[in-house]
Amino acid sequence: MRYIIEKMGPELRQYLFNNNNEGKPFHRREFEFVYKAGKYNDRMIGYGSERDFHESGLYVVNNMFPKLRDEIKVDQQPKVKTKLYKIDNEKLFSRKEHREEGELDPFYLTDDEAIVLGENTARHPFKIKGLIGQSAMSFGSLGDHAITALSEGLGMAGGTWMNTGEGSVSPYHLKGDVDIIMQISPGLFGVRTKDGDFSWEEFKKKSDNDQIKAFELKVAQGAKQRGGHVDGKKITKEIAEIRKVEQGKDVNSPNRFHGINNGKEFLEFLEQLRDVGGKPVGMKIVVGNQEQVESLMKAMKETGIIPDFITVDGGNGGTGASYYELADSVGLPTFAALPMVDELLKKYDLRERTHIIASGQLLTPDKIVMALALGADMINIARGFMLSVGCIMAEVCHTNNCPTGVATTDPKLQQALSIEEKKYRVCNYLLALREGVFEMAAVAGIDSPTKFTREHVVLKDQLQEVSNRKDYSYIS
Amino acid sequence: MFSLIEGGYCYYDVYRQREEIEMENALLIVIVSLIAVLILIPLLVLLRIYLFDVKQDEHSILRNYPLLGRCGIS
Repeated sequence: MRYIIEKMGPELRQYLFNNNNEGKPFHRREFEFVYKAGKYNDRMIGYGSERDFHESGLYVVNNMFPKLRDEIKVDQQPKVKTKLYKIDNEKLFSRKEHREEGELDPFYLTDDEAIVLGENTARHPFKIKGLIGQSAMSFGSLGDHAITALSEGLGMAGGTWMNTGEGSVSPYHLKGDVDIIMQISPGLFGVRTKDGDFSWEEFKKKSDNDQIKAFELKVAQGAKQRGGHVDGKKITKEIAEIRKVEQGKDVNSPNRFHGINNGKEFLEFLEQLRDVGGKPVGMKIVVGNQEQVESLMKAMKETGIIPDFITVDGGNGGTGASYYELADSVGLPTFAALPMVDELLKKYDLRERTHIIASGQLLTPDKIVMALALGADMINIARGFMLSVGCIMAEVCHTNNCPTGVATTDPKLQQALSIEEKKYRVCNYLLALREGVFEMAAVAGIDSPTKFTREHVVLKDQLQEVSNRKDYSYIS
Repeated sequence: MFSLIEGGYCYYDVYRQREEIEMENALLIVIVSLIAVLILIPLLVLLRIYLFDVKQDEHSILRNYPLLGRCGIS
């Protein structure tokens, strides 16, 4: 009996016992936000907030004289053709809805506000007209149906990017017309020789692909600050070919790149990649403390080699499979790490020469705006997009038994995930996010979300005292 | 109830007996039909829901777990 109740516990909590703001890692209202945005492109709620305003937390600063809609710098052309759900009737035991074709505003940044990665460093800079993209998710961790739906949905929305995760570029990532950031981890999947060394030949092949716009070197990720592990049973023939590993055998990534022992060596490798590939190259880090980040900044200053972007993943970031102790207790959360990196870049006069991408539980416009205000230039979302293709947070990603066919390579389970239906949800969710972010910019009195600064966010504590997050004088 | 008129049975008794048998048969048919309806109708309804769940593309859980998945659909 105890076993049965324990087994049913997560479902019981999720559906019956947790209140709307209690669930972890995402509570019901966040979950609902993604589903509603994906199906109806709708962000409305009724009656008011359920946030506990007595608790301490961050708040976005509104302006007494917000921007009017026509004062906002936004590019709304071309419109995005998508499909949206319309509710026919909604009763307790009968609920009917149908899909209709529709046109949505894309909410692109204007050309002068667009972000360009590698503008002065790469032969092929990467111009981005949307602030939000898909964070690293590998083929193998997610199935081909999920990757295809994401690729096609993001491609429809345009102005965004898709990070391949460390599992290299699969044909499914390339199915939609979406710009790709290829991640390279210490496992060197997709760019390795048979012996596991870095293959410049394979790297050149990848960088010659027009759809691949940039590369990201993964130093760490929020949920596991060590090398990844892929179970042999997940290494199918196809995955083995894509990753350049042996079929059916367990794969363990090293904890760091072989032969790279310090910041200087790492940056030299990064520069070499940029030279050979001609594309922007960034890095993904998890912040432990100020000294660690500062040593990296010093190395950048000394070598003059600056990554085109730095992805700051919070310790609260997600993953398909990790270890309890790493997921829970290692690495600072996003909102603590961001201002530290931002401030240290400023301290070493590097801020104007790179871009910060933030990730870690940022799946609603308000959280995105807070990250932008705390120092981010762009946002990566992984689990939000997983929810948009049908994830129900069953938390079994590591077992290959995902009931919704998202985080599994099992063909039978994947049959459940209809690419034709879910790609529209991906597109609608992203457009709803962008609209929400632009609307919050207007409320904050700025004409573009690229102009959020630390003045736009305050911290209110339990004593109801307010402090501004621009005070980082301790970083001297 | 037997009577000895005309060699053992009176026509009335034979008639009644036949009527009873017919009634019994009819009752049996009604009961069987009722049971069949009680079992078949829910089965047909379940089959219809099953096919709907498998064919629809909105809910992944219902496609993978037709009928059963309805317990957890939000």
